[in-house]
Amino acid sequence: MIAALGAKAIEDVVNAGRFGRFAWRSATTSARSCARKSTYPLIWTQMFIIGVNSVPVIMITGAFVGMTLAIQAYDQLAGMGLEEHLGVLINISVVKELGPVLAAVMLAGRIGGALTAELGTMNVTEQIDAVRSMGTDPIRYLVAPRLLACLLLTPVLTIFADLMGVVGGALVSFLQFDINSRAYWMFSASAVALWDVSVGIAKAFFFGGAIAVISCYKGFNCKEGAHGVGQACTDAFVASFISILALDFALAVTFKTIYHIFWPIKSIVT
Amino acid sequence: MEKNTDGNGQGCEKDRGETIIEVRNLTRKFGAKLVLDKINLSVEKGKTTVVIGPSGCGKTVLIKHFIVLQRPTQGEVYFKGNRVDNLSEHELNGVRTHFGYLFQEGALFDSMTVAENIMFPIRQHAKIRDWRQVEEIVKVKLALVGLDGFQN
Repeated sequence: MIAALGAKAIEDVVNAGRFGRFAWRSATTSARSCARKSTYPLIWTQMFIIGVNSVPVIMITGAFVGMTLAIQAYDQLAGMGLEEHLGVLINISVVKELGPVLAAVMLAGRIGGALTAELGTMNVTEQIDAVRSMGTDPIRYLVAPRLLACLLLTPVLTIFADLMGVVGGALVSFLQFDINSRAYWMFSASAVALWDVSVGIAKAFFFGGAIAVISCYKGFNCKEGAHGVGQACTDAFVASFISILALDFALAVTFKTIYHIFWPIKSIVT
Repeated sequence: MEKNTDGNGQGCEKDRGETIIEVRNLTRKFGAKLVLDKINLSVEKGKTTVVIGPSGCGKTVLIKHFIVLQRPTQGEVYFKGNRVDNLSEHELNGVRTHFGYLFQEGALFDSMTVAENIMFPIRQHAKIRDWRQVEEIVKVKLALVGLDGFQN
């Protein structure tokens, strides 16, 4: 039993090392790819697949998040006579947490699964080896365009999700609960600062990177056969989901610390 | 895989003798399974070298070591006298452009057309100004193997 535990621990450490090397190579190669014009057409293609095709599903997700928050929070606030503050609760939750996280989870399912399945199939049919055999770096040709597209477009898609969340929450508040729209927007504007919106968008950048690297890594290392590809897709989604939540926590702590460092300076200036 | 020391075949007499690919004491294990056991082999210029063996004996694994798609557990691989099995992936890209490798299942890029598959290495390594010329060459080459009209 001890031997089995030890073997498992060694295997996990080796896999973590492999993933670390893959992530580092992906990051450095992607940075270099930004300066290569020949990579741009590959990035445009991935941006279309990852970005444009995801807009409807992301907007629907955002809208339902905002609407559901309005339904759930109204009774609590109305009980205290604070129903006009409903916009504060909805909008701060959407732009700082729920918008970025749920958009990223949706992308992990839609984009991450597709990336892993595509690269996994290429792996088991030796197409990745074929790329290597022709003297082309598969990280540069296959991973870098996908990583760059995810890094650039996850924040943009998050803005769409935030926007629809705000609109969805407002519509339910006005039409369902008959809240005064002027008071709703006034309280929201005073509570939601540019910093809150920026934090959400900055988080999305990291989520996009995590989804792309994890999905590509699982695709590159999937086992043979249809079962292997299917298992890799499942693993990629689970790993991406956990990474999104872990990153969300770590980034929330980091941004809060940064905010508390700079808040006194802002107060002095203004 | 049995130990092999030579191949045989035919080719241009003037080209014979120069060793293009050489493996020395090549050993490859997958976990505890020993697939290649101290293989020594030379592939000479101008000769047709054939590797024959039963299914699953490691022929593909051996040939993948020639262009270092797999790294040996032990032993060395040389290309034109230079050791290549210890090169980085980046350094190997230059070496691999000298090889033509046909995979068992074809390994064609299924997201590309026939013409795009043929043009892939040209796109990656050559700085071409007139792509119509390349498309014309692809058309001619496909016609040579009776596939004219199947570019797309």
